[in-house]
Amino acid sequence: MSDTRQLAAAMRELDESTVLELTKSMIESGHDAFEIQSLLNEGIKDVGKRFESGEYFLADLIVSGIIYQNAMELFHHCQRLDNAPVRGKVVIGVVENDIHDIGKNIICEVLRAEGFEVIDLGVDVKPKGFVQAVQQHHPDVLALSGVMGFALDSMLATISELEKLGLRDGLSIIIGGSCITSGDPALIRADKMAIDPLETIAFCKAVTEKRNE
Amino acid sequence: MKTAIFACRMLEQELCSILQTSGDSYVLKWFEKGLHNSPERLHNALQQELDNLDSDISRVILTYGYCGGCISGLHSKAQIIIPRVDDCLTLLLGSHARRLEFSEHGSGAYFLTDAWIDSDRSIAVEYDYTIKKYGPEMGKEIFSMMFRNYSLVALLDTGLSPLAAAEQKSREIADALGLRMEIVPATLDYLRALISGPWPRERFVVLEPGQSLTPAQAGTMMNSERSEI
Ligand code: B12
Repeated sequence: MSDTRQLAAAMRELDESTVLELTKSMIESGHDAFEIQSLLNEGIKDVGKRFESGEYFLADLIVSGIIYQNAMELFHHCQRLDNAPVRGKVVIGVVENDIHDIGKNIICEVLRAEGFEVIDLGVDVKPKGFVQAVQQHHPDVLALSGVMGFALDSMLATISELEKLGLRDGLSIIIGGSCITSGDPALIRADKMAIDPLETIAFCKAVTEKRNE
Repeated sequence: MKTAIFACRMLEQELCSILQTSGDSYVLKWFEKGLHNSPERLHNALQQELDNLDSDISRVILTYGYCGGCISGLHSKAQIIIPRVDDCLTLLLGSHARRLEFSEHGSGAYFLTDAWIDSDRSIAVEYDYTIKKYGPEMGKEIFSMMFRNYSLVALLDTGLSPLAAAEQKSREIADALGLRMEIVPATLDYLRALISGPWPRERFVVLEPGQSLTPAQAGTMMNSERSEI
């Protein structure tokens, strides 16, 4: 099995030392973040499937999140050493009444690994909390995360609040997490819906690139 | 024409007590508790039974709410009735507003019922697995990460069975997780109204034959004021 295939498999097996070793050697041999994340994502999706089929337990989901974050930190580290410029600013949080944060934490690390400055507001963030953060930090992108059913409703309330205060224009909003399955971002008036971390990055990059044009 | 109830085993005790005193007869179909860990499998199981419905059934009552999105896309030749709730916990608390009260204190509640405590994937089973697989030190750390945003274990009291055993277990769970434990009064009223009808828009979604919810409609149906369905 090639290194690359092994990385997805090691993630699936929750073998942290192998994941970190392979990630490091792939960074050193010039593989880019996108490639490595794709493999880690593949592994983490399989972890989710094993959980759903009853083979894995909650703890294994948590551990997969920890391993993912640690692998991303390796990147973060390399980039800091390179003194790479900050690509853009993202404010992120889990919306009101929801406190599931494994997915949100993964998104944070993925964005940091890509050179974004991430301001993490934590969980159960009220619309007001997002408004304050937008006023204070002027992010390029606001990312709203949620898994519970009512998360979509909280997202809607957050976006309405931003609109009411005239803060919506010029702000790109991405919503995600498994509270959305597909469907129309317009319904909740966001710019983008995503579940896949790679799509999240692609969106944030497109926003900042457009700004820099 | 007949009415079918598609019921989650998580609500077995509550539903059976309601049906005992209800004069009407229903076609009852049970779905296993474990399905809720996979909204996709749950959706598929529900849809499969909807597809195989006997032709004399004109209405199907779901004891499911949003439950991870399982209801989105469900469709049938019969009418489908869905309570405007997230999940069974809201159903037993009696209203969406009451459910939200528990997150207004800024940190979350982990809810338990008899059925949640006894499920083969109860949090106690999860805990034992974790300690066994990862060892006591790492295991405890994993659990404290899992519950870092919680402050309360809330045991729902429906008054249907003596609380003593459940209370003891809830306390053990709360102690292991370092959380407070509280007994919270629950109600069967919402579930009873779901079974008996009528189904006013504020509390229920009524899908006519052939109609279904888009993912976005499913995700916003809990709040009848904002919901477009
Ligand atoms: C782990 C888990 C928990 C853990 C949470 C630990 C933690 N610190 O987060 C614990 C055990 C504590 C928990 C508690 C509860 N849970 Co829970 N939980 C889950 C579970 C099993 C997995 C969720 C998860 O973390 N998945 C792994 C991560 C990696 O996936 P993810 O979140 O989808 O994130 C990915 C993407 O969505 C995306 N993403 C995430 N955020 C964002 C943001 C943006 C902007 C973008 C673009 C992308 C993105 O990237 C991630 C990486 O790929 C799900 C069931 C399931 N299979 O989904 C139930 C589930 C979400 N929980 C559920 C329930 C009911 C609860 C409780 C209410 C249970 C109770 N008895 O009290 C409480 C919730 C209390 C509250 N107020 O929030 C229900 C929700 C039903 C509903 N109402 O909709 C589910 C669906 C299970 C079920 N069907 O019963 N839960």
